[in-house]
Amino acid sequence: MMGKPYDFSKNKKFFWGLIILVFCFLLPAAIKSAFYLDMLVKVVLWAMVAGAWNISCGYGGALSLGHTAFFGIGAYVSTILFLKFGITPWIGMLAGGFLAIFFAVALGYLSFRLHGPFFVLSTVAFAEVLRIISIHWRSVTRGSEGLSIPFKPNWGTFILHNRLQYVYVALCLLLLVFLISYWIERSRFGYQLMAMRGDEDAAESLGINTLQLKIIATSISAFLTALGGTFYAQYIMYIEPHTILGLDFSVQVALISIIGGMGKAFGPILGSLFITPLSQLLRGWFGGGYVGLHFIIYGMILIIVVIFIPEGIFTAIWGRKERSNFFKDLISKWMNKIGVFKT
Amino acid sequence: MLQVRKVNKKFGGLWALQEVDMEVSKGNIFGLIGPNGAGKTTLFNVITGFYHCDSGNIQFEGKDITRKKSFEISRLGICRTFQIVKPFKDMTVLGNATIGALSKVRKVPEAMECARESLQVVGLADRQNILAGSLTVSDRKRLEIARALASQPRLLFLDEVMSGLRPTEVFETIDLIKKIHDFGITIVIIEHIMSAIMRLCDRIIVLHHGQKIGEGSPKEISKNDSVIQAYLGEDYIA
Repeated sequence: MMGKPYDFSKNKKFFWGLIILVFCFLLPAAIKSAFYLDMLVKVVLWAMVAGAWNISCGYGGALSLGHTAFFGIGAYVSTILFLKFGITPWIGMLAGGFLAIFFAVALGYLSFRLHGPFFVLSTVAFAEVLRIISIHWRSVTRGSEGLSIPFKPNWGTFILHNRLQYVYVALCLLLLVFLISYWIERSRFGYQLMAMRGDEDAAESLGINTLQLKIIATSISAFLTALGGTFYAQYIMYIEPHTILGLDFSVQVALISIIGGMGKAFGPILGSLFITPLSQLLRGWFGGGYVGLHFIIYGMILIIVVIFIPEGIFTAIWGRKERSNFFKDLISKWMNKIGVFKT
Repeated sequence: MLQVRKVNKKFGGLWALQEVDMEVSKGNIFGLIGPNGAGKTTLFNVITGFYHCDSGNIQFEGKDITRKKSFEISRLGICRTFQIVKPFKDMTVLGNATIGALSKVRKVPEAMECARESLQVVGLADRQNILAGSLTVSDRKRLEIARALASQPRLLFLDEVMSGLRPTEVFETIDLIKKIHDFGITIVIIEHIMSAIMRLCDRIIVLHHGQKIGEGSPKEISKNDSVIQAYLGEDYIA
């Protein structure tokens, strides 16, 4: 390396990445409005959790609607450890992550023998069981009343003074998820995951142990999702079963990843940049007047997006060889759709 | 190299395989023929671990593989293609072959090199960046072979790689199989195109209703009475 002139073009991607990263860390400091900072925290958090979902479900194709379980485990474990034993949520975060891995492995051995819709249902059932346990195990979780964390701002207790600090912590988590996804996309592990998504029999015939691969991918995904859960608990400072262990959550996470682009490291980030502000703004604009109107509009926008770019925002824009084709394709697709409706 | 002894497989009340024996020696091209539903693909599935036989014994290079799982068998050096091709549709042609190579090579860039070589062999090198889902049937069959080849097997099972191809493509595939055989890979093929089987194989077995009804060189098979009755038909005596 020494003596040779520095080859910038080789590391072009790396430098661009660095510039974007620095920009991402500087931009939030310029935002003063609490509303937009709150939105930013949520955008980053959802991108992070959807990114974690994307690891097992996007790359590996093991579609799960039970990720809320891992999120809930992360939130409850760190909060209970903090409230009952005074253990800092930074450690609780890891404890929650490891417990989530334990559950992922147990669930994996039981349900990875199932395929298609049956597997999806088993993940839903798993999350539902945890939700019911958390409602009825009142001595520990205080049931539907929920647990609230007393506000004593301190870095040690992971209760931060202002939203900007939360943005930075969330960005670090997102960066972790992104780097893992980026590595997966280029590694042997990732190639094998994508092969498994394509066809399990063919993957097995090429020496891939699909059961083991699914369990490893789900464990990574569960661990990261649980970290997101702890962060959520520390940010909202109140957790209860219906929001963090409900099916809504799982669907939202899956949706962000699907809309953004499944099996792409950037997919969930784009998905969250699009969906999270959309749902928040719609609720802000229409939430007051007609009850439920914002849900209808939100749903319609999502349906339109899924019809026109089913492969996700990322693949639609960058996935194809020639970028200029994107709008051409979109228009021709649109024309076809109209044609179908007419006949 | 491969010994199959008294293998039985039952689906419900139906004997898919009954007391089937088969011995493939190193360096051969071995043919497996028989009417539809004779149990040829079932035999492939049993040997490569996708099904487990009810009784019997299968040995590969002296190792017992009867109860082993498909991925373990693949790692020992047996690879197969599928009658109904199973490409990884949302990956490129190169990506597909790379998956095969990754079963022996750990680093992705090296595996890609390996994959390119095997694509070169089957003649798909110029289409390596196309999505596998957009290939034609004959190209998908080639890709299936390239992917298996990239995993560097010592024993390769080809399940009807010529069905559905045009005559010129059949000839190309025959040449391709000869080429693969020249690399020192032992091959077992299932095929209905008799001219191809007769030209390629050193040894053939014939299955009918799950039972072996004949075994021998192509010449012997084409004169075997029970084989002619069950499969080849009277007209084949030429």
